[in-house]
Amino acid sequence: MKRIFLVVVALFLSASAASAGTTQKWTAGWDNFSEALNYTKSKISWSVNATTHKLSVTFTLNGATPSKLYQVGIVPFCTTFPATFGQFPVDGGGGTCTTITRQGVTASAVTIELGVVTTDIHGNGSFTVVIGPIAPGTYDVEFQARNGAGCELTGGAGNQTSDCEDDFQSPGPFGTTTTITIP
Amino acid sequence: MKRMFLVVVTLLLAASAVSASTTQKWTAGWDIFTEPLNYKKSKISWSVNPSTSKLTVTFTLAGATPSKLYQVGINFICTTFPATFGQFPVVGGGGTCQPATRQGVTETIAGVDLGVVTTDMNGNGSFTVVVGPITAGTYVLEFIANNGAGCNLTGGGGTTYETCAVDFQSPGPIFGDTTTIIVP
Repeated sequence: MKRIFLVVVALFLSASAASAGTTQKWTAGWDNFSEALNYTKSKISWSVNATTHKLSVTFTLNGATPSKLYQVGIVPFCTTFPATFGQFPVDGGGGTCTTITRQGVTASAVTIELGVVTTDIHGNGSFTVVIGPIAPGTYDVEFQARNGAGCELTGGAGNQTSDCEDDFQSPGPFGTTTTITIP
Repeated sequence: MKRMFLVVVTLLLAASAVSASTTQKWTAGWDIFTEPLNYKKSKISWSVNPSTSKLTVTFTLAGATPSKLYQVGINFICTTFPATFGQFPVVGGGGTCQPATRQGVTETIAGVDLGVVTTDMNGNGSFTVVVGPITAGTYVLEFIANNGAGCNLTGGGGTTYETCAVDFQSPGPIFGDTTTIIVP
């Protein structure tokens, strides 16, 4: 009986260790600064599973525009970048990172589109994605939420300014990054 | 020690009771029949939490078109329907359900759009949504996946045939084949 109990406790502990995460807030995006959002309740939670080399990210929006699609992704700042990030393609196919200027800051970066947050009648919604396995390394990134869905993906609004613009970023402002280490 | 073990086991059983779910397969949609999908690996899993009156649904697509958006939702077979289903608005605002004919079958329906499955470079993706609290009742429905994102929602491809056409239905294979979900 004691042995079974210890096994159960060990399983609980290993599960909680794998899912321990970091939570950070959204800030206004680098393109649109007037999109509605409850910045106090909205957040991004992420964690790395060192064993599987997978990154789990949950994007949560609260008090955004009701019944709206927000495409979410990750923006690594880099000089060069592979063609893929886990199972997701890098916009443009990777290689030399693209130089862009936003909020008075110039930096080179790539973008990976991960999914869509769909808001309900209250403007609330969330989306969770598991990415990986990811090549070991240190990634300096921002998370982003676009003004619609379909940027660099099939089946949405397409590559138009209206849906590709950045409504929310984290941590922000542009160029202020979060470091994610994949062992 | 024995008491603690029993507490842990009780907690595990309680958790599994809440999360016990039904899994069902996709079939080809009632508008588009050629969209790629691995029908063996693709599925929908759903469960009802009777304590919270909430419905949890996970839509999983495997082997679909890579890097594509598929809006997912529910079509209810009904005569009248409320303006909302949980926290989601009903297309058209509810009221009298609208007649639709697909695959030679005519039904009156109401639709709810719940979210989007985004596929990776292998055509795989999933999306989980918790809907509720839902008004107690018996709901006769089909799950659907549209050919794009933005049907009846802001920020996507808009309410066009290209976006709104149904690629996959469940249970199917014929429009009007339904799943019954009871919310106590």
